[in-house]
Amino acid sequence: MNKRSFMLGLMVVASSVLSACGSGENEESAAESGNTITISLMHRYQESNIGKSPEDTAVLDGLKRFREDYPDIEIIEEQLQNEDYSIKAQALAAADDMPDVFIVPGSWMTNFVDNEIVLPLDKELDKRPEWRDGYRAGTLDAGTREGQIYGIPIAAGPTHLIYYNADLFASIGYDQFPASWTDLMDAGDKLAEKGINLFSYGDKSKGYAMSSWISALTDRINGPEWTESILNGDGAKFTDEGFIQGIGIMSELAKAGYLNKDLNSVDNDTMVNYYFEGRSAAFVSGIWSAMNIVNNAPDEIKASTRVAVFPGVENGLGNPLSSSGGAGVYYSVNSGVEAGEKLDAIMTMLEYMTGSDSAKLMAEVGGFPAYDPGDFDTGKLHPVALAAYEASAAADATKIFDLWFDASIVEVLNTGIQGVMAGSRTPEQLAEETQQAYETFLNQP
Amino acid sequence: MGKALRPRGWVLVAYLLPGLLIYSFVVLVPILAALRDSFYSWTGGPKKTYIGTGNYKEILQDDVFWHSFLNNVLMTAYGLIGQVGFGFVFALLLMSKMVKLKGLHRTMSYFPSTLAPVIIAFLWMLVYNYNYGLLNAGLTKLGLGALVQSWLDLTGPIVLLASIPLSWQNIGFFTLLMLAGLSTINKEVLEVAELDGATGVRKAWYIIIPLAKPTLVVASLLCIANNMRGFEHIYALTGGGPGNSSSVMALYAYETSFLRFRYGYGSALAIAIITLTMLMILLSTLILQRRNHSKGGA
Repeated sequence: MNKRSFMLGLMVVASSVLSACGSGENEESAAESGNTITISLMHRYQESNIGKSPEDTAVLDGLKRFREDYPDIEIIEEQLQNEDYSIKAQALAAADDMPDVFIVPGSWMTNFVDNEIVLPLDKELDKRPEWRDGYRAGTLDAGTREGQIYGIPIAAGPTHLIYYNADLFASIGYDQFPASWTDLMDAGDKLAEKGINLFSYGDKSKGYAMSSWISALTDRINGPEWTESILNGDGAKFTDEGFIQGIGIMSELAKAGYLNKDLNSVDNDTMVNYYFEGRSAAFVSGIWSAMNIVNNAPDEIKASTRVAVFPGVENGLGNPLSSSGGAGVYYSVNSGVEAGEKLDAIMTMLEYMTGSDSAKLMAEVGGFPAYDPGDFDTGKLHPVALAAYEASAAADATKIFDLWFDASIVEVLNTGIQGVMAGSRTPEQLAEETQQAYETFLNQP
Repeated sequence: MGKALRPRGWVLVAYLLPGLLIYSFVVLVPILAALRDSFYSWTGGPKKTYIGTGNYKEILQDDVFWHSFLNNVLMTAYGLIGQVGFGFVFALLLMSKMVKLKGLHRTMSYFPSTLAPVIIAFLWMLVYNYNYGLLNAGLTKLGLGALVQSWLDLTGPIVLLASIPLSWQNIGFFTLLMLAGLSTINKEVLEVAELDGATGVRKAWYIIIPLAKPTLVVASLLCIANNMRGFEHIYALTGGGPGNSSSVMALYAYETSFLRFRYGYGSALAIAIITLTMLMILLSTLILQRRNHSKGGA
């Protein structure tokens, strides 16, 4: 009897350990068998960012309105921090245990499509043409593979804008942002004499260089055809002259001492703070930094901040006014969700979260939605936010590499560029390594 | 234990079973799963392609991995000096009569061991910070302004710089371990040595070190194992950067799997880490023990 009760206890322990992993799923399927629809949603938008971040504000407002209009539909929502989200989502994806609706960055999309983790949404979008056609040109692209749409974009807008302190540039004789690289280097020199960095730069988190600098620079030099050729495997190489030249321009700025010395060990927040403190005359960042300036910059810095883009490169093949941009992250639906009531509810929820009303709100609080908000009240926007919005709307968006290139190539570039900026590696070596990763990717079975 | 008191075989097995089960689930099964996955090209979804030993062949030519391995070895070397070496010196100091307030010293030196690695990394980021850092401020105060650096941006000595916080954290643990080891040395032996005129360094070198050898060996092996699987400090302090200069094997395996979506290759890397670590420990055990024997024989 002793033995039996012991074994019984053991089984209880073992089964509770084992079932801990699967309990979430059980709850869900139980709920589905009833009449209410349950949608599990995992994203990186947070309650605490409402009012600070336009994206969070708009998306969560949409979700709130959806909950009010459809009280019968239960939403199991999980809000995660950016980095936590990546780790958890990747682990769940590898275990084939994704929630019904989740966020997919563009660079994951190919992998998720290949592994059939995400559901093609064309048929559902075709039922709602008004919504589908409201997206800005190109914003659906990075969520589309072989003509099928797998992701609904949220925010768009340039990842490359230059926020600069017009007063500081005026003090060295530039009444606008330098229009050529020669002028830019000259300005850097004059600023350095005053003990100010031309740009502050913060790439600790690896990824900043790629999204805000390399994509735009390479496009200036190589033109968009090069990027297309890389993406299609049509013969362009990372060892091509233009790519090396772009990386070279970046490392020259560092070598000349025009960037802060701790460029690899500080993050984006510190980079912006250096600008606020007057340690630098400019910084390169995406549209998302506009609201940071409006909300957090000292008044005199806020008043003298203007928005520009990199100057054109001599003999460059790309449009000198272009900025890297487009939608960055997408809402995707689990491939396990079947067409019917539930999918319908999911699509309605996504329309609430990313569609017209949400887009209007996002624009009004200083964001740049993927869905064209049409005319909106610009009166409340600070001039810096408005300038960033206008620059975004005017810019000819070129592809952001970290969303388009496969994650295996992105990671090599993100890591390698730190070495180049630190001076321990040459642009040629980085190009070589990237090309090697690219070839490994192309040869993958 | 008397025969009557000894529990029966099945009772022993039953007592061990829960622990064994949990251990299997969190250690053995994942290792076996990684071994299986290491033979596939797998990007994280339901599709896997069997490629035999392809991943292992790639590891042999993977410069970044071998660079990370070297960093682990370097960190181990720094750890043996900074953690075991200094731990031993601290223990000797705490044993000696010169030091007052021993309890306070013991508590203070153990305190960093209670902190999470992320907090340690954050503290040391503040120390190394270019503009506001303690280190640069100190150098400036001392009139050594020329030495002011953005420390974490240096690619050369970055492994050493990252190893210092690690030593700072673990030194207390090793000090305690050494104290425990030293306390087993027979007091009479030490007294006799002192009567014979062996004091200070001489006493430490000729009497204490040979007698404390077993503790030193255990501490060294622990230190090697710890540093070969190091991850958290580097991840939080430098992220392996700048570039790959402070990358370690575990960080590289993590990045390969979770940032590059190469789960198959990442699994192969994990197996390689286990193999290399085992080899290192085996080698060092052989070396340490042989020295023991030869000394004993002489």
